Amino acid sequence: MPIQINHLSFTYDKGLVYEKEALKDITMTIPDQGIIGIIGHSGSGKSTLIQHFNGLILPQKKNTILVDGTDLYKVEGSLSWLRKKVGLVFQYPENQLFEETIEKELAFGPKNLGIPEKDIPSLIRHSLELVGLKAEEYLDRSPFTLSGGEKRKIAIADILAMNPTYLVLDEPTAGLDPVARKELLLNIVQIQKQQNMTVVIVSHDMEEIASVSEYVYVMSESEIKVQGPTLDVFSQCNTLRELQLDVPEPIQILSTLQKVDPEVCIRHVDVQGTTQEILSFLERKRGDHGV
Amino acid sequence: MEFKKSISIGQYIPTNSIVHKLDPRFKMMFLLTFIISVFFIHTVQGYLLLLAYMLLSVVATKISIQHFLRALKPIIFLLIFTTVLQLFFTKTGPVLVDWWVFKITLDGVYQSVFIFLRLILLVFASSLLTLTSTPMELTASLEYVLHPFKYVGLPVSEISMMITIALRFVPTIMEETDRLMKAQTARGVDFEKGNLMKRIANLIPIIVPLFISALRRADELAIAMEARSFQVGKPRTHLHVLVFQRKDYVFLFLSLFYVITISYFF
Ligand SMILES: Nc1ncnc2c1ncn2[C@@H]1O[C@H](COP(=O)(O)OP(=O)(O)OP(=O)(O)O)[C@@H](O)[C@H]1O
Ligand SMILES: [Mg+2]
Repeated sequence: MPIQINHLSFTYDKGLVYEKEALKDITMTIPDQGIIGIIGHSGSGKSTLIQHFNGLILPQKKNTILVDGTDLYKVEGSLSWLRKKVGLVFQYPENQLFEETIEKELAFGPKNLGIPEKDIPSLIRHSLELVGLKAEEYLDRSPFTLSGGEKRKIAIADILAMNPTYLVLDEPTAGLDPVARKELLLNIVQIQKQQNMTVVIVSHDMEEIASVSEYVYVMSESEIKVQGPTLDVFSQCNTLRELQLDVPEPIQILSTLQKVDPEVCIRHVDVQGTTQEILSFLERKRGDHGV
Repeated sequence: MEFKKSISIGQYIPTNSIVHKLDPRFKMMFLLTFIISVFFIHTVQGYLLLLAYMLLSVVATKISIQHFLRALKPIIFLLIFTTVLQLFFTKTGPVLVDWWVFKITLDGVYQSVFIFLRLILLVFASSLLTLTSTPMELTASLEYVLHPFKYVGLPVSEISMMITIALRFVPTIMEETDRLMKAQTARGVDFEKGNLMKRIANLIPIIVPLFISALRRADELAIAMEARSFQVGKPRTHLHVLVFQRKDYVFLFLSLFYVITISYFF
């Protein structure tokens, strides 16, 4: 069952002079499989939105957030089940590491959730495998001896060790170099496939979102402005520019060409696909002139 | 759960009133005089006059009285406790009530009213300063007030620099604490449950990362300051130089006159 958000609004510091309406009438569905992208400029409310998914911010109205059918407005008592179901990886999650060894670090979440001691080692190993790190090599090391990219992976493994049904990642590639970025994205796609789970990726990089997600929500000024299958959304260049988003170059090129030749299809963001599309465009042009 | 809201630091509330525009050094010196006079006065009339002055000043700040009352919150227990203590344990003067073990005297009533007003006046007076001056103004005036101690070897500029830096990082660190609490909650920590030991243990995942980032930040700040030629012990100039204006003198004179007269005669 999905996460269903209905007409959700949220204001920080309500009633004070500097109150800030961070979410306005958000309605969305996070299905129970696949990769969903949430994209928007800085301050558009992305982080605020996803903190509602696992109850870090609780709704103030009935039926605004339903996680697998449970209305978060009505929940009482411990929210452990929710934290386990919806794993949330924060922006710059490596800042939250604190244990002496990676093994203890990874065991922290499962222990908090009350998972039996004997099940924890296998959970830890599995989560390390998922992020592509070898257990033997890492378990006994201190998290503080790792590189930035490795720390990031450990922080993601921390959440995976709790075996969530939904994995929500807030700007997972921020601050990484291009190679580490690509690797991490590929890794996330793999994790989704292996675990058959739902992954929500928050980002302000359209190219990144385009390369991994099938469906995308575009946020701006605390609202969802556009939504739909990723490539459909990304072909609306002008709208996206108005929403202060950088349109990926391949899409810019293809949409310019499309104005000349409606047959050009904006279906690619990778270099190969774009080249193919340009080549066939040139082919058609040459044909036109040849006649 | 929001940690940020449970503590108020940097209480400055801008309203553009005349009190805000006064020189913070004046406000600080006046605060000192006021505190001393509060302890000198020993008649009801004297306190009423001071209270009138205080209420007038509060109105002049254009800040809602709620903000002043909020400052009383942390001392409310002390306030009630000392007032009650004075009321029941002063044994001198004519007896008003004598019932069972309770014996209330006229002196006791006076004493408890005095102590009550005294504490309230002190809190209001300090709020008057902190609500209407920015932290930067406060440190600048502290530096000025401590200025004479330079000659006996007190590193006044350095102390005020330290305070400025500390104040600058308070909001940053609180924001970070908030963030970390959320991040660790997402990892299953429940900060609102468990016995004392459990709660203390729950602080470790917050404090360790907080220290790491504070140390890193301190390092970065030191480098940034040195890159701009900051040197300990060298004299520095200020971007905003505080200058006494005519209105500051007028206010200082009138207020001091009023307060000192009251404390002398009452
Ligand atoms: N704890 C908070 N208290 C008050 N205001 C906040 C808080 N967190 C965020 N805001 C405000 O809410 C708005 C949305 O913030 P949010 O962090 O959700 O944006 P974002 O889309 O995640 O941005 P970014 O890409 O920079 O992470 C911003 O204007 C921000 O200033
Ligand atoms: Mg964010």
